[in-house]
Amino acid sequence: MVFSSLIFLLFFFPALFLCYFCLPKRLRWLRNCVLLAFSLLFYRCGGAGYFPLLLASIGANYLGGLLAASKRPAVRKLGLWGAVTVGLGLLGWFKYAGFAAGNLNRLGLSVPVPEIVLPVGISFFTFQGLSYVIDVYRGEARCQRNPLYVALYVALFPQLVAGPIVRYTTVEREITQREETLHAFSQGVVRFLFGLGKKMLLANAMGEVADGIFGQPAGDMAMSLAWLGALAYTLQIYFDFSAYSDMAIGLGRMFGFHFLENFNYPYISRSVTEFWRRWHISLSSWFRDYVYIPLGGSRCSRGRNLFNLTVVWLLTGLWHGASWNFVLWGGWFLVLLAGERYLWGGALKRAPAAVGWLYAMLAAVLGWVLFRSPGLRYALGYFRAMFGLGGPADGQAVYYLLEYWPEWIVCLIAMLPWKLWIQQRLERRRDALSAVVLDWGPKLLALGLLWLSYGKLVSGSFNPFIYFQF
Amino acid sequence: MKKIRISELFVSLCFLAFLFGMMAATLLTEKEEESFFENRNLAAFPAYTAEADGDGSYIRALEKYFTDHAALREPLLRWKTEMDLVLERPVVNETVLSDGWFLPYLGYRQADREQTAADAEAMADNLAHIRDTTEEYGGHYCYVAVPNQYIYWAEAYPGYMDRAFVQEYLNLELLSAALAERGVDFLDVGTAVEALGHPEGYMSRVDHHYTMEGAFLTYQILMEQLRAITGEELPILREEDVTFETLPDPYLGSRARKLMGVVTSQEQVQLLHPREEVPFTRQDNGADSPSQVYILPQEEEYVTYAVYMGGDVAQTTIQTHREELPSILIYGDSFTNALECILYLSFDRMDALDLRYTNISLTDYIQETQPDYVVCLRDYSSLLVLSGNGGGEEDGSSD
Repeated sequence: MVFSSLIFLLFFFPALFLCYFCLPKRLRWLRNCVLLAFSLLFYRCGGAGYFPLLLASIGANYLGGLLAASKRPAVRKLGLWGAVTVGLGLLGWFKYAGFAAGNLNRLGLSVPVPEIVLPVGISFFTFQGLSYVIDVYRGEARCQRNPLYVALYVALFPQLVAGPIVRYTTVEREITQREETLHAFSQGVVRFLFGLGKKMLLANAMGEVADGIFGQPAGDMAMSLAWLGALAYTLQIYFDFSAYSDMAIGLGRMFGFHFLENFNYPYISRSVTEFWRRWHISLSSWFRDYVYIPLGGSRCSRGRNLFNLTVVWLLTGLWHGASWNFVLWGGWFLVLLAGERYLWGGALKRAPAAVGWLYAMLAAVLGWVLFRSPGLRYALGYFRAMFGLGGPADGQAVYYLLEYWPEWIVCLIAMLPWKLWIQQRLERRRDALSAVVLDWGPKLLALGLLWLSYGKLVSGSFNPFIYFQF
Repeated sequence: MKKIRISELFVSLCFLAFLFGMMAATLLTEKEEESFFENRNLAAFPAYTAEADGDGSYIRALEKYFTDHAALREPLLRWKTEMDLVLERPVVNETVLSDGWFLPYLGYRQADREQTAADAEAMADNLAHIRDTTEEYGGHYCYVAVPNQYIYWAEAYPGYMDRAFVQEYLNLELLSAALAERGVDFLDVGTAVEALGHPEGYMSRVDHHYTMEGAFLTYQILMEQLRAITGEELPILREEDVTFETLPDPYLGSRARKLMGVVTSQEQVQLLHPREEVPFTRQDNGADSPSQVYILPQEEEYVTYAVYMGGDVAQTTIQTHREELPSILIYGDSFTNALECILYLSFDRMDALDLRYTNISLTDYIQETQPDYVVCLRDYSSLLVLSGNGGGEEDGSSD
């Protein structure tokens, strides 16, 4: 089930709302049980077949947490490594077994390639569960002895299948002591509806362009079309994923949770380093805290630091998918980040802002081509087309620009922090009209987006979420 | 106590009212089985199976059902269409609007010559077999190709769209060559119509079929061809033998229908009447039907192409009880409908089959009825499609 579906909007959410808010606040445990039951139902709707996997993951993290909180070091290590082995073992089997077997076969070994369907959200709930056990092991979080609360943390439906990856410490207190208020609920509604609008009106439109272009043979593609496709995917993946995060954060707010931000206008970055501080923040910080820093981070020799970066970025690539494209995509950013740290970072800082922005955007756009391409050969052909070695122009680029002209314009505007700029200006004016606009503007806009999104939902069929595949 | 902001209460209540209201409306409104403007059946409530539940396909089917039956769906579809028109998108609901023409958007396609050649060979073998069946008892067979609306009006597409239609012309080229090799009579009406100077009134601007004027021209070209094949002096109606009646109601062509009827066209439906009345009897699927070939809408707002013969019918027999005239069997997709309204006037008996809607074996039917002429009429895009009216072994349908 996805948030931008009628089943979720018209049935799941109203049912949850009624069941949850009809219970008095003092019965917090019962409200949590309702939330857990609906979260499990949410996951089960994606297919009953993989439901036991989520339960196994919850069980392993609960037991791991209990053991990791022990006073005996050996037991603590057993808890940590047990949870890591089970979590990464499941992830490895379901996500990477086919890839590994395929590569072994390419090396001449005869290994049967298992046909495994990737369970929805496995990368997210695995990383989220592991962060809990690791934090308990490190003494940064208290062990949760109530298995229902561990289950609620891992399976909480807003972030269950596509993030953001919420740390246990972020919601630890709120699991048992949160406050649901009208203020928070309305904030959540507005945030959710902005996310829904971004997804239905912008991401899906750009997705249609990107799918239309990336669905064609790359070899004969005109340069203009190739760039347009790359740009469309660049916008699609941002509006799609950030929309999902907006909806998750908004839903969390409605039920009293405060999830951390996952995106911060990444396409205004002036370097790749800055881009990764603004893009999928929960994943970057997960790798930073649980892989990069334990390996030694940057407070070590240059060689060791390069090794640490290599490990992190190849893992980041692999986390996104079991394919050499993703490994290469991780490698692409490894090269750029290492280069910025040790080679051209200083020059980049001194260069005009526009140069830095162009460089960062180019790096992101080329990276997304690798990310979107079905294979390395296709990606190579696509790059050739982008640099003028494809076919002649056939008018398709004109068609895609004219057909989606409103979405192109809104996307290019919405990727900039206009909202913050306008908000700051209005706040500075301190007059009555500005106060009314600040108070009512986003809410009315959000309700308008609800209508538009509903209209799109009932009239269109193009509605996939990209990050579900991870 | 914290002060309640009206705006917060307002947005929260509106949000909840919307969700609960739409849920109630979706559940309580009567469910339609088909969508007139989309010309398709709406999704039925899915049957539960453990397998579908296991792989998530049950929920996906349920989502499709609710999407098809969501509250306010049709008004919203209409509103979205109007908005897209206001925004001047070149393609709205898969339709290209170009200065009075409503044409299909077909994307930027490429043709596979090798595959097309293989398909043409297979189709030619199939048609040769049908021809042999016809000739066994002394009948004559002809395969007729008519241009698609989008090919006829190719120049109306904007310059940046693909208007070469390579695949359709390749179908035509390779099939005509394959049929010539096998000695099967083939008539390309498109070429004949071009030779007449590309008459404006031949093809509809808002529907994917030809107009009644176009059907009449096709009829004359076909009859000339049949005369040429057999040397028989078949009666052919000319302009002076017929009158055209223009219906006053607005014409909702298939393309305009896709636009939810929000754009009106200037085009109107015409009916052709012979100056000299020809009495006839009609049977549909073996049952007696009223003796009429034009089925006018009763209370509906629009006139559609279904006015001709009442739309697609699996099997129709029209008898004019003039035994001195030959008989004909015509089969094909809906292009035949308008043609049938004229064709029967030149024959003693006309049988019409639309194999998309029946399991009747074409060759069995031919052997049983032994018509003097057997004609298949298809548009350029479906010339090589064996299924449906291709008369091949496969089941399926085409446009």
